[in-house]
Amino acid sequence: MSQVASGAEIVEGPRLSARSVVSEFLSKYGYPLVGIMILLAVWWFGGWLIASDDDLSAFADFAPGPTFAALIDLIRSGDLTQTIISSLFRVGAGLLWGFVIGVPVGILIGYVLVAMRVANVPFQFLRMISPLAWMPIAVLAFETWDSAIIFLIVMATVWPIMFSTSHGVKRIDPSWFKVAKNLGASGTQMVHQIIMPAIMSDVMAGVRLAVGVAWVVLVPAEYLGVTSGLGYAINDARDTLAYDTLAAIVLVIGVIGYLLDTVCGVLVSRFNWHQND
Amino acid sequence: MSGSISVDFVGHQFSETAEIVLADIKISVKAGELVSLIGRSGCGKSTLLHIISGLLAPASGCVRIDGKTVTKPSAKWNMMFQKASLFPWMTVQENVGLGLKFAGASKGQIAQKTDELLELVGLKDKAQDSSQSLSGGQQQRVALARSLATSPSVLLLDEPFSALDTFTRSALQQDVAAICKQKGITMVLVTHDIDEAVMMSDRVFVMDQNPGRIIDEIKVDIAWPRKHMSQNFQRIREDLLTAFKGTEKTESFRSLDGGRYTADSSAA
Repeated sequence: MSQVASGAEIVEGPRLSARSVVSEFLSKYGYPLVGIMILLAVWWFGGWLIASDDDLSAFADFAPGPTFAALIDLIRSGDLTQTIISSLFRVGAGLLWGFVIGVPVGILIGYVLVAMRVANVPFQFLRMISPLAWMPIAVLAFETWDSAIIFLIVMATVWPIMFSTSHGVKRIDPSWFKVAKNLGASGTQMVHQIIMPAIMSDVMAGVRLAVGVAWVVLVPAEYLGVTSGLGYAINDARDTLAYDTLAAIVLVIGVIGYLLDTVCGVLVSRFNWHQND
Repeated sequence: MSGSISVDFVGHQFSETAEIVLADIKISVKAGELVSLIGRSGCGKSTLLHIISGLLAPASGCVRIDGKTVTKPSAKWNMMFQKASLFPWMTVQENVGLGLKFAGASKGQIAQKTDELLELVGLKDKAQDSSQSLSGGQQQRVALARSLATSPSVLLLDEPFSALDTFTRSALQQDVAAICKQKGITMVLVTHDIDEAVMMSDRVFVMDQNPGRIIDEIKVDIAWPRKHMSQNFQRIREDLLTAFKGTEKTESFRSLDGGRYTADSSAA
């Protein structure tokens, strides 16, 4: 009996592990791949519907085939790189300012109760205004189109970063302050060694939200006077009736947005010390 | 030897209209002496400890350590809390070395001192582990090492063992008392556990509440290391229990030592 059992175990062992490898592979690549295939299928089907309707056939270039062809052309010509760099620069600058303003203010309103009470209403009010609503004011207030766009992105990024930061500060265990003070921490040491590491994962979660909003706000913001960037490229493609290029740029926007979010996700977990989060 | 403490007529209330938490507390502790403050929850013993540490300023009176008035916390008199409060993003070693890092010690000095202290508390093999992977008792040992790293002359303990299981607690009580004795550190322990007070101190101050004050002082003249069931131990325990009978809320007596009073007395 025991020999049979052990024999069965030997046969069962590798089969089980092979199955777990397959299921791991599936959950990591298989399911996302199926999702992408479905999206492509819907896209292709939409293109086919448009192409087969005489009234709409002028827009047939939105379909996957022409789009990917246009994408390859864009990449080959080198225009795309310059376009992406312009857009990333604006988002990066907007995020940087959002961070530089949002983190200290977030720490302040998270740490000082009075500051929170004073700031709460105005900040919640400002937060709910679409960043794009600032567009006319931005155009008046800033000399260059670039700074106006960066301002709009700051207005989008500062709130999630600020509120995540203050949330993180509020979650700090008060006994850490006691312990650190007791061990002789100075004000700056308290900020650098205790507060920043304690809240960094919350701050990064705020940055992740901010990146999402910034990337969404960027495209319409780039409809403003500038002559570079992904938003401009979309507008330009529309004006020249280059629908395949337009669709290719939409694709690029989606892919870059996804990549940015993935990088932020990695940073969030890199700084995360919460055991059960 | 340094680390003498003198508490001079310390009174406290959290605001002018609030009730008086502490009234005219006067204690003097010799350098290297181990004392306990024992009383029910709400008698202000923990508040008194915070005042001694400098984390809290008293409403009246003052605390002097080695003749100097305490105005702010210092790494020369370290406090341990009920929770170990380790910093979860740091390794065990980084936690222990934090006070030295704050003081600007070199990496080499920190490594040497943390090695030595982790050896002392029996956690040398855990140096590089995450502090979150440790058990409650181990975390409290790391907190002890962290408190000792800055070579304090005074160790202030705010019920640091009350969240631990009996065996771990008992081992830590003996270790902390032994380390304080060996290094000549003055210890002030706040506890509601009579056994713990007898186990770890040269003198025990009994506190009562409304307002928080010291009502009795009992000398514990038992040789070190101490054993729970020795005759002397029982005698002093009885003295403390008698002192306690005078304090308020006698009916909830059992909660004083976490319910172990009944279990222990039946064992004796």
